Amino acid sequence: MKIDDNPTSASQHPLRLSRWLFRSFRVNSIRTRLLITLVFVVVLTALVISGTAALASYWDRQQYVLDQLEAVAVAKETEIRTWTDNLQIDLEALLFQQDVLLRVRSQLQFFVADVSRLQRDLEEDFMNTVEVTGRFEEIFLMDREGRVIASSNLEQKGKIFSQETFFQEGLKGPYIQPATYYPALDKTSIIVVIPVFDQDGKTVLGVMAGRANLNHLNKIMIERTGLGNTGEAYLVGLNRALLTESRFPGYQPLKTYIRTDGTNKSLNERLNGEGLYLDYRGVQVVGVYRWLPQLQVALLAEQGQTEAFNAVYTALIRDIGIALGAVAIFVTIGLFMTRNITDPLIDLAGIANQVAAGNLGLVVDISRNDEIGELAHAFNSMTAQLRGLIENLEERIHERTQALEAGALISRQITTILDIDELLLQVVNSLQTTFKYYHVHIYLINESTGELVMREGSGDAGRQLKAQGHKLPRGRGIVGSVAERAEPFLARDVNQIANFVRNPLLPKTQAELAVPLRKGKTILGVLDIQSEELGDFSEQELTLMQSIADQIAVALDNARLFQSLQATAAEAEELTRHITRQSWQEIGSRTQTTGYTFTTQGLMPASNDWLPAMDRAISQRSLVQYADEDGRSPTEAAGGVAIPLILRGEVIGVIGIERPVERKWSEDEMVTIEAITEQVALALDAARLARETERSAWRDQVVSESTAQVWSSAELEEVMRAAVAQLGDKLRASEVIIRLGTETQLAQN
Amino acid sequence: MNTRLSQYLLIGLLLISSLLSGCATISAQEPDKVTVQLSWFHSVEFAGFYAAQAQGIYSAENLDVTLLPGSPEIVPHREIAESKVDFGVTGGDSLLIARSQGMDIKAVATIFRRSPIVLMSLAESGIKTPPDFIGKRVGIFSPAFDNANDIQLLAMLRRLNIDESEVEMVVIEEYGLGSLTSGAMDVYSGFSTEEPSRTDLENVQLNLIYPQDYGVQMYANVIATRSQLIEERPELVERFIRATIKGYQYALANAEEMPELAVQYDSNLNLEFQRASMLAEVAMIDTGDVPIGTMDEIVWEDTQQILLDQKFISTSIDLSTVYTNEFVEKVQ
Repeated sequence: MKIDDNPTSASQHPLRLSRWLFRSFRVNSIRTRLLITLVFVVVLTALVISGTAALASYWDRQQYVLDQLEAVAVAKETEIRTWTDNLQIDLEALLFQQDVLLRVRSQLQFFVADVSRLQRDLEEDFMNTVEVTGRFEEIFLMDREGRVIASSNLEQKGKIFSQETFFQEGLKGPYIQPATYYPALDKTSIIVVIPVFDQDGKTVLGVMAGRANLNHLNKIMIERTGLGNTGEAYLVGLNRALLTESRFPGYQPLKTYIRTDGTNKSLNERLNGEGLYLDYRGVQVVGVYRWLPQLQVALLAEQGQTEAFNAVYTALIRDIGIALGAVAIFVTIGLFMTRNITDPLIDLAGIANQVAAGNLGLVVDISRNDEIGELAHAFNSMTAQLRGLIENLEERIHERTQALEAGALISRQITTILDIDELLLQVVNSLQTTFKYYHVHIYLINESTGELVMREGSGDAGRQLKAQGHKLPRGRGIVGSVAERAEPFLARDVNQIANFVRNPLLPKTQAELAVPLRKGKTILGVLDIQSEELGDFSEQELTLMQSIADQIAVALDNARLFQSLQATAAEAEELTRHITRQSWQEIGSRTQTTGYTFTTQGLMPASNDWLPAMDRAISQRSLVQYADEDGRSPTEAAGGVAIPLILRGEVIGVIGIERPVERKWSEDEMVTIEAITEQVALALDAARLARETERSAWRDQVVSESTAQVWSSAELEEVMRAAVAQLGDKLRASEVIIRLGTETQLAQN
Repeated sequence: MNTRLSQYLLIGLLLISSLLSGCATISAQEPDKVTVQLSWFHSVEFAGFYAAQAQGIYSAENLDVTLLPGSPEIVPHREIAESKVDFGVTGGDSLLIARSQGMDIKAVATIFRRSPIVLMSLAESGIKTPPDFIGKRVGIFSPAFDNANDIQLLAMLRRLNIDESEVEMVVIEEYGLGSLTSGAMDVYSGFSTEEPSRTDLENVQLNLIYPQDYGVQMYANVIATRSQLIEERPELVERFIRATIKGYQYALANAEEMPELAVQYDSNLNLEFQRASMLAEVAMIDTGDVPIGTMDEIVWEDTQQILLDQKFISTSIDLSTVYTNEFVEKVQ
């Protein structure tokens, strides 16, 4: 994410370097795009400027060189024209000398026998001219057949040039034979001719010719002012022969043939011009060529392109250097600029990513006054807001969870506590402490008066109000109206409520929430909550409190129901016991025998036999075991058990069992005794009930009080006999006593 | 509408393709086979022919040219007249003589505009001008004087009013400067492009006497063909001459390439000598005043006059039937 991960370590390894570069210059990053754009703009500008400048200076330079060459060429052309004119003038001047003309004419006309003298004089004239003027290599005179009859070069004498153009043309008038190769001379020559007329000036007697000495041309051309180090000017004949010296070795004049773009243009098309082309050495030159019609030659002035454009190249290299330097500087600046712009953005992006991952505590540390600073500032305030929002949300979730937990706790309390007073106390206290309310209290409707009585309240105020027996009539105040309308009521600012009655014990109340305790359509009371904070209580709280109120209502109802059920059950039980007691109290008076005793001697009715343990069994209402330590038994030491006969919670008799001490009572025997006792109690009751039913029926029929005496106790006695007999038999007891009677009756023993 | 358009398109395409195939058959036409009898052994003298072949100039004219080297035994004008070859290189004098003998032959271009024929003597012999030949042994190729060198020698002597009986004519048996250095003769007859080019190689100094300096100028190597061929297939002659002249233009502009090219035709050639020859030839081929290959009336007139004077021919021939520049003039 950051550009400079670690460039120094990256450079240690080419792979790492390339990876670093790749990461640093991702094409889709702003940095890379900025940098590329910047470099592109800079390079383009540099290219355009230096390119245009280079091109312009190239053209300027070329034009300058060409102008210079042109000037040189023109200057030389003028010199050459003068030289050419002088060629003919000198030849004519020679012939203008009377003695020479005379000698020529006589030589041509008469072909004097005395050849030697006349000819020698003429040849001397010719030689002098050659020597004095320096313009000719040779001056010779031809007769009408083209035969050389006199020459400054004696070896040339006798030659016949009848076919040569210079001779043919010379017969017609003055003429300059263009550069032509003459095999005998093995070189190219320029020949100037003039006709020789007779005295009348009408008949051509012959032709006088001068073969030009090209040394002077060489001198003209070799003057290299304005041509630089590699420049030269030279003449080329129509036959492409180089007429003047080359400044480069290996190119012999008059024997070198030149076919370049320059010579072709000027000689083929007879044009002046200029251009860039390869010279006869194959070197690139800037050249100017001129066609010289008088001499029928091409004049070329050329300069090597390397030299011509050297200044341009130097300037170009310098410009490129400057441009490169500028580009480097701009790129460096650009790099810093883009870093300056993108680094904070990268940091910001990194922090944003971390914030997105949940690290809300991060703050961007960018203190700049530009757009990035603004962005960072906006980002920070956004994060702060987000942080506040989330914290608030968490708090609210916490509160809500707490409320729900409190609600659940209270619900649990409600369902577990059956006592109404305890329940209400718990509820108000829990609500007050859990939700930190200013005050919580519950009013219940007094069914008889219809007033709302404060049944329970939190804190001291609650206790005091309860002690005062605080009550409200229905419809008065918030609580009263809630009870009246059976609808919850929320006042975030009690001061705004018209029928608000401030309780002097609760002076700080600012907001109040009251929900009805409803059981079906019946209003049982009101749960009233007060807060010191203005604007407290939310809709959610209202809903929660209503649900708690509903549960309280259910609990109240349940508790009331339970209490009434309990009372009814207690009443019923008391009644049963009362009846049982009464029934059995009468038994004694109605039966003949109220006890039996079983001994080894047999079974006999014994209404007065008693064992001391039997008292204890009755008072304890449970089985009592004993060892007869006190030696109460008349015969021998004995131990036993006593067990009361209990029916529906009432003692209806008691059984005592005794046997010798050496025989211990086993656990099984105890269980058997208890079981039998229970059965005996039930059997006795059944027998009594049967007897009572019998009696009732009879009474209904006869309606006679006296017959009550007739009430038979046969079944009861049978049961008692069977019981003692069985117990005695099974337990091998020495004595088994059963006595019937209520607790009070038996206590009389 | 659409179907009609596509039909037109189809027809158009068919027409174009048939035209293209027609063009293809024209360009794929068999090249014209042309044989050329050169006047002498292969050498840079024929550089233009070699260049035209090597540079594909003949191919561009759809010509398949075979170059046959010459030898002392081969008479090119006879080969041409007998239709053994289509073109040949021969001397202007030989051509005129052949014409007088009734052969069908006509010059269409010249290779050298200046005659290369030269008479040579050793520098130390003191023989510098034709009058110096008197009493000396002068080499000839045939006692009948029926070749360009001998004709020009004779014509020159006569122009200078030198009685040939005063000159001892010796038939050349050994070609080259050896005839001089061996002392077999005092004056040797040859080509300026050949023997003088060897002086450096053979370490001899020569005096050169050119017949053209004494009013004897003949074309030494004209390109000739049958006038029948010119009449029947002028475009073939035109194509061949155009290509050959262009070959010589190339040879002149690229003289340094020619010696090697000549050696490709005859591996026995001496490269150094070919270089020297080529250098000497350039000015002979292109005199600068007229396009290369052009022949001058005056040269033909002189040639005919000399042949008449020397009785090689008995009557003058209409020169317009002997040579023509029409093909050379058509070359750019």
